[in-house]
Amino acid sequence: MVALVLKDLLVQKKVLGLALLYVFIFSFAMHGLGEHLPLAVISGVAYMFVMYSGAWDDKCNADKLWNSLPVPKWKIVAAKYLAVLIYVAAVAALTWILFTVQPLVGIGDALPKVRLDQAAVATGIVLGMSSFYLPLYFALGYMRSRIFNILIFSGSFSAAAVLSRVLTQRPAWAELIGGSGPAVWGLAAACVVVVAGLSFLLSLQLYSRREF
Amino acid sequence: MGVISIDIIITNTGEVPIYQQIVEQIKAAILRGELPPDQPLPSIRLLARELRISVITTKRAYEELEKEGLIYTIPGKGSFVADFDKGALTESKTKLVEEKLQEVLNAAELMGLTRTELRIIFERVLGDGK
Amino acid sequence: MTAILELKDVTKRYTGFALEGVSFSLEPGYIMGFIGPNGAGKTTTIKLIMNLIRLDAGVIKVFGLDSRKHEQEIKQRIGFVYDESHFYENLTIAEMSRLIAPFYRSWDWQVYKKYVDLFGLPERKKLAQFSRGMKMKYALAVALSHGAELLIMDEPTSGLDPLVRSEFLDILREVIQDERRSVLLSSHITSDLDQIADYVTLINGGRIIFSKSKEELWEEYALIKGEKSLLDSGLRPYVVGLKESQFGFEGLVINKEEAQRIAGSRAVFERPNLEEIMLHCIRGKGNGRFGA
Repeated sequence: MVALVLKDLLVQKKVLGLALLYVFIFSFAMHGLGEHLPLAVISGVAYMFVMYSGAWDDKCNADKLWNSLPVPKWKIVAAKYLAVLIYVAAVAALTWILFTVQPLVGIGDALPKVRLDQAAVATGIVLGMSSFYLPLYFALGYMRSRIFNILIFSGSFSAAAVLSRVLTQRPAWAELIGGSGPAVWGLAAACVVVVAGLSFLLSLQLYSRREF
Repeated sequence: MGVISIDIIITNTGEVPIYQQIVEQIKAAILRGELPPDQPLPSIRLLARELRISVITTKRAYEELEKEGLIYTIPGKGSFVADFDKGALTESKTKLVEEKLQEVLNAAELMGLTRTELRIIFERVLGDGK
Repeated sequence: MTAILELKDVTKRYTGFALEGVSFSLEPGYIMGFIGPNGAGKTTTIKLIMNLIRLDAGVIKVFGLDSRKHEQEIKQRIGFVYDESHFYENLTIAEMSRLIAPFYRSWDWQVYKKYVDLFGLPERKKLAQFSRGMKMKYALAVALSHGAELLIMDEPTSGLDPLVRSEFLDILREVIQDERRSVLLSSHITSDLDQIADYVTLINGGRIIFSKSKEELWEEYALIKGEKSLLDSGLRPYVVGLKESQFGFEGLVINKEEAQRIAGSRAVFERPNLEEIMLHCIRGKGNGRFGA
């Protein structure tokens, strides 16, 4: 299965090489977000890679190849989910490097520090969005699932906006989230894992029903 | 002991089935004494590859030859020229010529030639042979 | 002897086209040519064998195992070459092979290297820059590098020039010297199969017309040309793909012995090649009977 994850990375190697550039562009475009900038940048760039990883598969009709090789479908599907984590980790590392180097080089305004908890939240966000995107990708293929990305993006941002509004209106909830550290993190992580797990099962079902 | 090399030339046109052509050519080589007893013959697959034909055809040819007692096959080892007595060999040779002559006779009858006309033609051909 | 490939009553329905009751089998050690006009169902049949699409009815057994229940085990032992390249165009064959190799239990890098050298494939060129013939050779190299017992090829030489096709046949002849291997080769270039096939299966409109050895075909089928009067003295039912002209008729007989008995020397019989057999069988309607 490592080979399958490697496949996604190898196939995108040109794009990944430009990851640093993408981080830079995203940072520039969203720099009004202040302290939340790293979160947005990591989420945005990583999710972009999640989306594009299917492009080459579609273009070369590689599904026919992988389904003719002795590769069980669950491995094909699982590899895409695993790759999500790898993208986030890679982009987080790059963002940290960029944001750390930038003040030394002295271009532009000061950038906020990249914190570990931000990377963790980004993982959750990207995994969450992917959990909506990947079943569509496995059911429809890259070309036809792209349309839904607009919905997923706007859906995610709306959800985030609604969430922050709810929290400001219900200080008790905000306290719950702001305080009691590990318990809340644990709960949030569990939620993400459950959602991702359900998404995986759905993806597997949909992919198994496809004909190549 | 190496595999003996013989010439087998088959033609795709014409009425004689390919397996039959192989049978006749190997048979002729054996009867001429070019293939001594116990000499290994090429495997059916090798022959098929070299002649660019199906292995089923070469298999059939070898089965025919085995039926006529000219070769024998050891499973896993291959096919070999059979060792049969000279008497039978001469008998086979004569039998072959007889068969051929019978074919000529049939063809002549079909064309409406009488026996006398046939004899004249035969004598002429024999004369040319000298 | 267990057949290496067996299809029984295989059925697959689409709107406008269906495979119905497809049955045939292949014994180990032989090459089967799978012929038929475009759209006859050759690719659909192969996709069903490879489990790329689902059966509506029927059973497919490969190596004696059910194709659905033992899919992974079967695929370990199958090498495949399709008419289009499904490899990543932006990778080199070295990278592509490194992705594929881990999935085959019996992958052998030495065998792979032998074929890459034999075919003269450049290891560091991107696949996008490969010619069609070279892409096919790469697919073949991969198919032969993991001890596959069954090779499944769907129109591997379509669109290739005669030289490459001839090379391909030579390679196949070499491959089949090992009698544990078998090949299912679908092609509409019947002249290639005239040379190399041991068995021939003809499919048309989603149905199998016949599945016989070449020897059987040559024994039973023949091109016939003769006087028109022959047709009415009992010969007509035996002729398929009949064509009558001012000067006589021609067609294909599927029971040569009977036809020769009836026609005697009033008709000319010729050994047909696969293209002629295919044309007459497909063209013919109502004349001549086909046994099961």
